[in-house]
Amino acid sequence: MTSPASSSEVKYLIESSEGNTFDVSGAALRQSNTFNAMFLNIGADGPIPFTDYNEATLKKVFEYCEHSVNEENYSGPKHQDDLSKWDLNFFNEMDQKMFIDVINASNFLDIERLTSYCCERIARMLRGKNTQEMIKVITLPTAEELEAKQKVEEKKAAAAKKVAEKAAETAEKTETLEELPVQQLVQTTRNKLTRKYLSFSNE
Amino acid sequence: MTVGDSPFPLLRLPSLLFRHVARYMENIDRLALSYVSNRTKSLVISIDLKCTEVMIQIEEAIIVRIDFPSYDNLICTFEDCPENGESKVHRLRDTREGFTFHKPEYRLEDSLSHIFEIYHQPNIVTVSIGRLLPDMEEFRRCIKSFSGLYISRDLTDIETWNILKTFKPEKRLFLDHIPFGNDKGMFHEFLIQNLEAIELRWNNIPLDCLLITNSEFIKIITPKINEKVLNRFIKHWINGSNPRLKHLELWCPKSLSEINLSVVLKGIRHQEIPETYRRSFKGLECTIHVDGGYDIRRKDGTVATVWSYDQENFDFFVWI
Repeated sequence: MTSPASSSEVKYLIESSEGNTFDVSGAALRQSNTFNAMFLNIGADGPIPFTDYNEATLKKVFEYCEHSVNEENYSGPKHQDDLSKWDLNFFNEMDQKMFIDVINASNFLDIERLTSYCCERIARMLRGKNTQEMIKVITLPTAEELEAKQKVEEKKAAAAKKVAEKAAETAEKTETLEELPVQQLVQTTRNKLTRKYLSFSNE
Repeated sequence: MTVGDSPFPLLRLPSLLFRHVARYMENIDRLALSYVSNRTKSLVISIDLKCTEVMIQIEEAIIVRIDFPSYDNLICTFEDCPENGESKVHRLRDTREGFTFHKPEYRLEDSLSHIFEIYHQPNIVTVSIGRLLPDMEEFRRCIKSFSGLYISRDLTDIETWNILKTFKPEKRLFLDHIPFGNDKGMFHEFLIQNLEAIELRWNNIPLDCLLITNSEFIKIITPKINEKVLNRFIKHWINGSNPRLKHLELWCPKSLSEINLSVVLKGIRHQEIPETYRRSFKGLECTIHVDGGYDIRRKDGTVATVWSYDQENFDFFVWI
């Protein structure tokens, strides 16, 4: 059920990329400037399609909106140290993929407060880092780089396999020593003893 | 997601979000980020950062100070071998916090150009030269425009002269020594420029040099003040010379010379103002409170005050 009415009790149906629908209160939805621009005045006939984002992401975004419904009007980002326990839990319990999905969805829905907090969180992640450290943090390998890396690893693995095979072969030869003819075995033992003697005489 | 050192695909975020992130970063972090890659540099440029002033000081090391309205000022230091592409960046208020940036292909000029690009060619750039760089011409080219120039007395006459020819400041000139002494012909062309301020260390000030100096604020540090020269200067001013002048300040250490105002004002109609009468003069850097003094009126009606503080300062304030 959707309605242009502004009462906070009104629920709107949201459709995710999976085609699933779930409802969100009008008060929470009105924190999205995108929603306000597109649907607030004209209403929506049927579920509102935010089909670029999956259900989990949208639910997470609107969970934040529902929570901040009663907070005073947004007036710039809070310092991370001033965030409430609920806010901190909200961010901390997300993995990186979810965090990126949430910031992208929040950016699309133009939810100023959530977008700002997310951006400030990333800025904080980079605080005090030098250029080299930043390169490590923000530069993720591209598909080509990953492929090249994989090739190198495959080569290394192949080389390691060869070495292992050679080692196994050598071990096999040692094991077959016992099977050598008696004369050859005597000669081998003599060689070993000679080497031992020589090493003593050197001392 | 906890705040930590794990990789984060910042560059895969939409540019709008990247800019949003950069706005929440501190000045020093933004500068570090701009050095990461050409893309981060372009993105940092796109957030339209502004600084209030950039000061470049060429001494043994080359120091670039970047001032911001928030007073979170930065210092970039290029050691005596700037050609190795290494610079140290730290906050003015805390030298421990900072980073060392090393990019072998970056010469001093590249680093300066980088800074100017990031901060969109700041209006106020002051260059202070205490020694010559291997290529002063190239250094000059990377600073598109600069407002102030300070030349140290450690440079020879020819070096000072060459710098004056290469670097022409738009607003302020500070000379710690006058090249070729009082060889007027050579120096006149710098005095007649319509500078906002000129500050000179001058041993013996010729009257004609004073009369052709076309700056609004003139400050001269001298071991001896010649009252007769000042007397003739004021008479010329009454008749219309130095029309742009707002403040002439002469300073000489008391141990060297004392100013006798009665000689300065000899033959000039003036009005003594009681010391209890305070006026505020808007100086170059700050407001100066003028208590008392001697008022003089020019032919066009403009009033100026002759004022001396502790007999080692001579001030000439023009009330425009």
